[in-house]
Amino acid sequence: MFGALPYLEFRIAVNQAKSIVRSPWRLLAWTLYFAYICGLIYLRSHRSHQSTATALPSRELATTIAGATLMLLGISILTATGDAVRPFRTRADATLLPRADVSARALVLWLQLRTIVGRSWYFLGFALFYAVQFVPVRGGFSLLARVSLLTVLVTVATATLQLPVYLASLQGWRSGLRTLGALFVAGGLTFGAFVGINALVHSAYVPHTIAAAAAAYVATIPLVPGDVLRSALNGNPTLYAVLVAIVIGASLFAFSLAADVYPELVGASFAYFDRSNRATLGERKASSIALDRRVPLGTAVLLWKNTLVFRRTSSMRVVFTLGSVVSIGLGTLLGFVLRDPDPQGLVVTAGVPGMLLAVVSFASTFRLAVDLGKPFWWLTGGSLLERLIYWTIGESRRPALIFGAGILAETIVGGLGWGAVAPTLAGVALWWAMYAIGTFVYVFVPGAIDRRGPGMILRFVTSWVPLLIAVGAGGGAYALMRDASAAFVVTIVFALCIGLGSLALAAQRLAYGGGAQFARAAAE
Amino acid sequence: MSLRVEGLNKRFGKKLAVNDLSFDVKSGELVGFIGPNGAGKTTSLQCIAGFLRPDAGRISVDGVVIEKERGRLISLIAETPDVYPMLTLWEHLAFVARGSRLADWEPRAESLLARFNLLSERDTLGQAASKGMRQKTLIAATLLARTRVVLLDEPMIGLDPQGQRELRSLIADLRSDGIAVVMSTHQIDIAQDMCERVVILNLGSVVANGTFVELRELRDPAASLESIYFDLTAT
Repeated sequence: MFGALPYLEFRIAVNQAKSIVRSPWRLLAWTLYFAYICGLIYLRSHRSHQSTATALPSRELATTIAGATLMLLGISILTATGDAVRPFRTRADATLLPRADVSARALVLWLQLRTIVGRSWYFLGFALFYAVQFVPVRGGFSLLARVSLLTVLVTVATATLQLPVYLASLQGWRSGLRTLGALFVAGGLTFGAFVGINALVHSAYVPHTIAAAAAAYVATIPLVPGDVLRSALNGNPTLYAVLVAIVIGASLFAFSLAADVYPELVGASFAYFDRSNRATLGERKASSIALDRRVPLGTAVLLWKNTLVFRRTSSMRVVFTLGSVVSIGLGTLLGFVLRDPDPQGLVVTAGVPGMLLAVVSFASTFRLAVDLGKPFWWLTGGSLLERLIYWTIGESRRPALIFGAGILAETIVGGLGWGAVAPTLAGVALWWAMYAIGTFVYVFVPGAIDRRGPGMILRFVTSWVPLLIAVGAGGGAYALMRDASAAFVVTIVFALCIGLGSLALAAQRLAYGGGAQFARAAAE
Repeated sequence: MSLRVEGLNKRFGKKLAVNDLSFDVKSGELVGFIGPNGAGKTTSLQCIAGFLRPDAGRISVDGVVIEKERGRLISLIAETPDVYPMLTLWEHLAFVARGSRLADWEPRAESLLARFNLLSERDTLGQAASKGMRQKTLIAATLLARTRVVLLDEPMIGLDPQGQRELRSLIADLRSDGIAVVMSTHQIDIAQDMCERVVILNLGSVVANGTFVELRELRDPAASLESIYFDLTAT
């Protein structure tokens, strides 16, 4: 029955192995990854006495993590009922797989199996990467293994639910499933935000009514998600068994619904690819907003083009508005922490925007490739460096504004008053620098490197290093001068220098033909 | 009669992409699908091939209404030559042969690759193949599967002159084997040269269906196909 499908997967695996043998440097990412993981495990296991963290997260923090997971599960269900699924990975899959003499049921089972294997492998790399760094040494390797296994099982369970939910929504169960998804999102948000306040903010700054309501809320829940998570991390196998049952059940449910679904699978995949293309180009919903009378001269036209795309894309405007609201809200929350720093809370809360910064800079590395594929970009006047500067400013200015608004709120609430300007500017400068660094990383870590697993993390980590240099320089300046404003000025100067240096190097590389490599990598 | 399409409808939201499409193709016949961009050609072909589920209509092959079995009876070669980046050109043929449970397919596959001048490139990975090579590989794979009906969506795009000549020759072979062929194209001269009949679509509806002689009789006996086409699709 599966003759053609195992052949397909086997040959792809063989050809990938061959391409690695032909170009062993593609193993660079994997080598660095394992060297880093092994080195860190060795170092941490030999310095365990320095660890002050407990082996398990607090009940509140565990509930927050579980809440965030539930919210993601709800979003996944809502996405699937909104037809935003991609049963086939590529257009080639969608075109060629239906030709194989395989029933729709068998194919659906195969797709589920592929999802399980693909997601497990993909998230195992990320789970290990983070678990090795953040799991307390006191917990030992068994905790490390449990955290990794749980992360993989949760992501796989979420992924395998998408196809059956999509197929069930075609059977007339759409509204019921949407309600279920919305309930998960609402419940997750409640756990994540409502209960999470107690986990992330120092108790002295949580309004009494909120703390009391949160405690009462938790008391009414028969099964607190944080307790379930903590129990699983302690070695209780129930949650693991439930997650495995979800994966198997979802696959069997999809099998039962897939009597004749080839057209739906292909149609949904094509629609996804088309949507993805349109979203990437940012030209989905053109409005009649006229900006043609204000076209600037020279390279600045890149900024004009960026503005045009933003104004004509409703989803970008929604993200900007929502992002600003969330950023200011989070900044305000952090401001309370800043007024009476609790080291553990500060580390956790500061880590969130830090991670966001790195993720966005990492994501930005792909956008330049899209623009480089267009003659428009190359026809623009000015040097390559000038074009890259305008491009990064255009791309980073709105996220930088969102980020800056959050820092402004944080520092004002934190009691810095007008001194809030310096950290805000530092945040904006860092954000632009991250885009510049992202561009640099993309140029020097070309698409030919295996981007899955460690390949992805290599870029991710490389994006962090220059940022740490800028922040480290600011920290050093503070240690020397004991002046926060001076430290922020040093951070700004370093960020600008690193950004400009990154773009200069990227421009030099592009001038030697890297542009074609970009465009090809983006098209893969 | 090989392929019969009756009352095919397909709607995307409020937009009616295909409106009551009906036509038939005899065994060994080549029918041209022509029409402006957005006329519904590709959507119609995707519905017939089973890539999209029509909202209404009936599709039958050799008198038997088909539902689940479309993929095995009807092949569609899409306009975009999408291949697997990490499969060689030969492995694409092997995949289709295994999928279609073909016996002794290797000599035919070699012969098809040779006809398209791809034999020396058989071990080239999909990611390294040019657009023309990808197009030829997919056409070769479809021809290898030998379905009763072959649908070609803009097949000449991306092919070099030699490839185009080979494709014409292969289509002639398909027809002599009794396979019904539908080919969508924007090139009216190609449709006029190759097709026995044309179906002209505009805004999702059939505005003409017949041989060139019949179309001329309907409009103007002295008119060219090009002028008839522009006349019919003016709105």
